[in-house]
Amino acid sequence: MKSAIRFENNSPRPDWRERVEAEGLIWHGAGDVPYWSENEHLVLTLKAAETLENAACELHALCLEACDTIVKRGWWERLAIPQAAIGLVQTSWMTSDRSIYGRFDLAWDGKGQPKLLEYNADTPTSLLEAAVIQWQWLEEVAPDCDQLNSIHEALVARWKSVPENHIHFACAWDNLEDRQTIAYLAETAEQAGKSVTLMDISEIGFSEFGRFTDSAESPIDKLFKLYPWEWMVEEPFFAEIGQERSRFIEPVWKMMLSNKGLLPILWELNPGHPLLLPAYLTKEALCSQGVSRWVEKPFFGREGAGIALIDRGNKLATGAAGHQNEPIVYQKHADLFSAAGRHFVWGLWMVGDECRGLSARGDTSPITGNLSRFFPHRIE
Amino acid sequence: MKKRGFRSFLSPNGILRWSTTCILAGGVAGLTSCDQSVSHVITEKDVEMAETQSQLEKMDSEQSRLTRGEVRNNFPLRGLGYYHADAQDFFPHPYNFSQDGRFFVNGQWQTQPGDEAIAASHPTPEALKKVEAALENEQEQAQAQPATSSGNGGFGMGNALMMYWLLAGNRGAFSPGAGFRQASGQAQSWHRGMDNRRSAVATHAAGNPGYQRMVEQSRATGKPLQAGQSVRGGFGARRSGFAVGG
Repeated sequence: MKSAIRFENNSPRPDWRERVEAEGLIWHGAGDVPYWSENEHLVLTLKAAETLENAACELHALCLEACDTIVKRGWWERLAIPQAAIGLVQTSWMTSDRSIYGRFDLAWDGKGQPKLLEYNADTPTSLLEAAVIQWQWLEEVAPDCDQLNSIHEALVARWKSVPENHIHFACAWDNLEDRQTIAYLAETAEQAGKSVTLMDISEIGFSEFGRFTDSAESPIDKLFKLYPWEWMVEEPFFAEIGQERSRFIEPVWKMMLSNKGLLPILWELNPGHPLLLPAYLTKEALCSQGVSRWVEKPFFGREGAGIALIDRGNKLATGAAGHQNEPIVYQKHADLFSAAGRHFVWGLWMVGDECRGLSARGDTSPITGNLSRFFPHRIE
Repeated sequence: MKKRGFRSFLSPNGILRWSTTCILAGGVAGLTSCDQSVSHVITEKDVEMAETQSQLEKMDSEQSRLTRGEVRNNFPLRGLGYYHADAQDFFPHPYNFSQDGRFFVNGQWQTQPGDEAIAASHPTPEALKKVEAALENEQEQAQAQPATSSGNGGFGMGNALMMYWLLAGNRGAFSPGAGFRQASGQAQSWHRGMDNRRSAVATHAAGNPGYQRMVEQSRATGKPLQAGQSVRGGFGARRSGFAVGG
């Protein structure tokens, strides 16, 4: 019987750097450490890919149900959502402010069911690699195979459903990876017939007419911001969002999802669900369930920062420093798919309410970090 | 999947936040209005305060050098012109001012620009005489102006004070005349004027959270503040070492 997942080597394309750069992936390595994996990839059976896809769809539904419950029960403190944001989050959820995309991170070693590690629902990156670069790789390296990937088409279609004709895209401009992400997203919006403006998020102004503006003082009709809501909440313009709320993508209700505090809520609402891992806000509560190996995650951690892997009280691995002052979630550890000395996390890309893509990040550390490598995949 | 609707949330126990009700009801400009008071548009007052702050910072940065009796190259003083440190004198054009393919260096027109790295120097006694004459002239003009006029960009006797600092730092190198003697009597009130201005800027900044941000942006871009423009930088303060995305 074929294994659900395997790791394979392949010959690199001789001009792969030029090829990926031509498609927009300017940052494909840090010094001598490659980020894009050109000569190694993952192979999945169709059934394995469908297992991951179905898991993402079901998890997405569970997450939306959880949002409903959070709003109804006012579980804001459980998510460390500050008072100043509650009104906006409630309103945004109730009026169904439009979302474009998000990415689940799942653990799955090919046996049993995948498990939810987290939902990057607000500011997911590695989008260009997932949507375009690995597809280009597939067409040139394994053209007879398939890939779980219609992210690009789905994004274009999603932008078509946005009524505004001009979209502003903003991020922390000095970060190349973020700039790469909004540049790609802007391209998908253009393909949907929109005109676009790209800008540094600090260039946003607020006019006397109560509108956010760009550097030319033009009012912003729709803003895609690759900048976390939990940071925006602490900044001066947050207090001015009010009626401008619906102009923001991702919407502010995503604060309920892009937050590790969601994990204990999901577990509480769906105890024993096969796609979820036991998760609690205290170590004691988790250990009382007989769990001896767990992962500690700060609520707003990113790129593995602040994460610790614990086994019977011993710290086995830690991510980069940071997020020390945030609440911690204690989640049961799940085995990742491992091969060639690497541990792989699956990224399942949601566009709107549909799962439209799969990507994989791998690292020699069991904690996926900022520099963990991106591996393309093929389905045989 | 369950369809979302907000009617079920309008419970008698008031699960909706006040701010949510405001937003859903519409007709308010922002969340805070339910308490709206902060403006994010540059006002005439912001521009005036930014000019004052800039002048204060300029004076602060020059004070210790001037009171030591030194002047940096190309330093401008109204009524005197620009200081050329190698020549130890003031001239009508800036150092290395270029016209018709020639460069104005140490009071002379040259075919080559002068060295840019020139150390500060003490003015000659002749140059100090010019400073004293300019100081006297400035005081006469100030006395002729209506009492309400602040002059110097709303700055009191800033230019005169800098001339006074320079002369005071060179005591013994020139013979004090009426201009310096009169300025000695007024210097204390000029310093008080500076402190008052400093205090006014601080009060304005404290009451306008975006003010300092706009001043910093103006410095970064080199563009002066203009009334009516949006204040920027209300988002984007966080620039961590990590990618923002996850």
